[in-house]
Amino acid sequence: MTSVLGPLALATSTGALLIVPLAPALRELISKRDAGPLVTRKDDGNISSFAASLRTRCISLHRMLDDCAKFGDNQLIDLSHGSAFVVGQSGAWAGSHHPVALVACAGSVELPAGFQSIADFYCRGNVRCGQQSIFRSLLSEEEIALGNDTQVLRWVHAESSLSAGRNCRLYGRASSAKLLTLSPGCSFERIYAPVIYSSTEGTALNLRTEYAPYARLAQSGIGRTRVHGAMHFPADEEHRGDAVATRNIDLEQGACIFGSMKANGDISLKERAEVHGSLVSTKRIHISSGCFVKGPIIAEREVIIDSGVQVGLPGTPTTVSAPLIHLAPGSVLHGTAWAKTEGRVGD
Amino acid sequence: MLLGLFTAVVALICIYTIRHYCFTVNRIIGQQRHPYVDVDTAEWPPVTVLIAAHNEEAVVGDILTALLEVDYPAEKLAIVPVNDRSVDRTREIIDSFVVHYPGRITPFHRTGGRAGKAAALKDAMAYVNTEIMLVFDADYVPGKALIRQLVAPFFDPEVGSVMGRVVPLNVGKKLLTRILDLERSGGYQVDQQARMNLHFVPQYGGTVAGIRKSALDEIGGWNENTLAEDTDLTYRMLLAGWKTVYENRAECYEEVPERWPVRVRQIMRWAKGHNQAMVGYSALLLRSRNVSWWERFDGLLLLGVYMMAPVLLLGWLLAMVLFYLGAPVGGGLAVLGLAAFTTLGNFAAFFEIAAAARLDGSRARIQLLPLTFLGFTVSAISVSRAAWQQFTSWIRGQEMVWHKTERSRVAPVVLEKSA
Repeated sequence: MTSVLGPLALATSTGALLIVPLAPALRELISKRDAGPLVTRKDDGNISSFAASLRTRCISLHRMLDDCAKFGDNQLIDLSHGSAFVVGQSGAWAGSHHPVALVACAGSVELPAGFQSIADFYCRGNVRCGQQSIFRSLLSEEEIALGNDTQVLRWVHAESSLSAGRNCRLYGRASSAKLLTLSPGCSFERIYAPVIYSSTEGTALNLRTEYAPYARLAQSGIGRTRVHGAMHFPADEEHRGDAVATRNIDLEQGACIFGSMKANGDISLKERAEVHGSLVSTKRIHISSGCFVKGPIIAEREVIIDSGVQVGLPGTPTTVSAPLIHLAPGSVLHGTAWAKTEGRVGD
Repeated sequence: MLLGLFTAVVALICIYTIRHYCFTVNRIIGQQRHPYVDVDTAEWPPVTVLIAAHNEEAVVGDILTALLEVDYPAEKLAIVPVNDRSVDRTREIIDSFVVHYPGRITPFHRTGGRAGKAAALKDAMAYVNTEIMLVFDADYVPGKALIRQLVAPFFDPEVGSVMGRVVPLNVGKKLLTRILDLERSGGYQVDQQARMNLHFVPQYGGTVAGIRKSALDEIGGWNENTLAEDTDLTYRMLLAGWKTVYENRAECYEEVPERWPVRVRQIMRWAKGHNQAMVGYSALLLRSRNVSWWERFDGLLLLGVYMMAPVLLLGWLLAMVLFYLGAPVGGGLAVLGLAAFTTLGNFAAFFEIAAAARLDGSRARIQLLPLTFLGFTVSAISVSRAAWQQFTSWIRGQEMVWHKTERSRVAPVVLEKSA
């Protein structure tokens, strides 16, 4: 009997020792606690999706907003996700100092300097705020004018124009369905509007509204030039087709490319140069005054855009993407600028 | 001589081990490259989506439904299901979609010709009138933003092909699917993205992928004479000076094999196709002036990746022989050495998977890591067998046969529930 138990005990204990390290694996295999497919990206990437979400949350408040506006009354109400302050008074702010989750304004409001809101702020009219204000998130169905040194911590969206005073800091998303104007000293991360001016000087630019018909050739199938080393395009030279260089690319004054460009190094566009395609660099892109770029601008380090530059076209918006984006006052962008680290409008 | 051969085997294992570690460390602490992911506003180009479908009645409806709902201008999106000689209800299902969505789908019913995905895609090129085309296998379920994510890199004129990330859908079905889920995670989240980060050679994977037509024309179109048209295309693009980029956030669900025999056939086909590319392109890669030294180095290692399984088995055999022959440095040391390197090598791959699971935010599934050894063992034996079959076929002058991966899906996909 003893002769059987001994080996049996040894085999059992050895088996148990082997199983112990596998126990968590076997437990997970049987219980399937984490056996679903990985959740993939669901959002459509629309910059105004947060604004749309807040707008949806405010739908239930519209009747109350109408009533408050009718009587010029303000009310503090409880909602399922926290209290909300409903503002019926238009004009100068006479708001609550209670901590609330949502502020909803029926009409236009003027907020005093130093105004701070950690609530989601929704307004059916215009929003005009004084300097050094702080918002968590802000949505207006009309215009927004942010005073100097104002900070938006998460997102801001205006259905009409959005203007940011000097030295505003726009963290997260800032967008407008029509026009966005950034004053000198403003910083941003992700911005979008059909037209973005870096300071009001940009409004004086003589904008292109349609590119030459033959530039449509640049869209496809016109060949590619690939060069080992740097590429240099002389002043006022015209080049048709895509261009790829294993090092830097330089365009002299007035050079015009009907195609896209890629440099495995820096790209430099001197004054009045034009690219009727995209610009892609593994390092830096510098676009000098008076230049025009129609397609996306993608740099893995930095994009510097001088004054008097136009990026994209009305009705044909595009993207500027880089960790660092520097915009000089007096330029215009159509579309998106997405700075992973920081975007800034120069003084 | 045996000792020299053994040393070479150990050296190769060391190189691949270091490679695994470098990729993993890069993904954890290195600078990440996603240069095209933020391009969300642009004048989007016209695109043709090719869906490779050979007897895909179980899945083809799902992908057509998903593609009809993607966030891309409908007038710029041509959907072309490539029904490759199907004998099931694939044709009927595709035609019913064509009727229900007039003008949105242009079917290509291929009734004859050579077998294989590359051959079918080659014939389907007559239906491609756009500069950019995307390729999906029929068992994939693209998300709404996927088309734009895959198209965005083509604004870079150096990019010839784009690869998105494959995410298994039927994870919880079997032990095999759970192992494959972890392997895929390591392969994409760490391996592919690290190669993208380091400017190495991300691999075009043949599905959830995009191709620039002018680049494809320049390299001579699809190669019908290969079992892995994806690897073949990756290297021909590279040699011609076109880049393949990997978009880690362009994710798409796929169905992974649920039965071991299906998995074995799948990986044997991959191994044979990959080895074909190794034979065909290694020397060209060494001589090419269109690639950087790092691309050359990584490209060669990638070409040899399926040969490592037979090399490993050879190493074991040599270690045993050296042990019994009493090799000068000590046969025991040889066995111990190989065991140590093998273990390290395996741990390097495990380390990759563990890092990938962490990056994915997965929690409990990482506990299955020890069981991936089973997957590695099956793969090592299958891949070695494939290499042997390939060698004997070459000796006999036999042509290799393409095998389609069988599907297990029986009901339409409902992602909300599964996620």
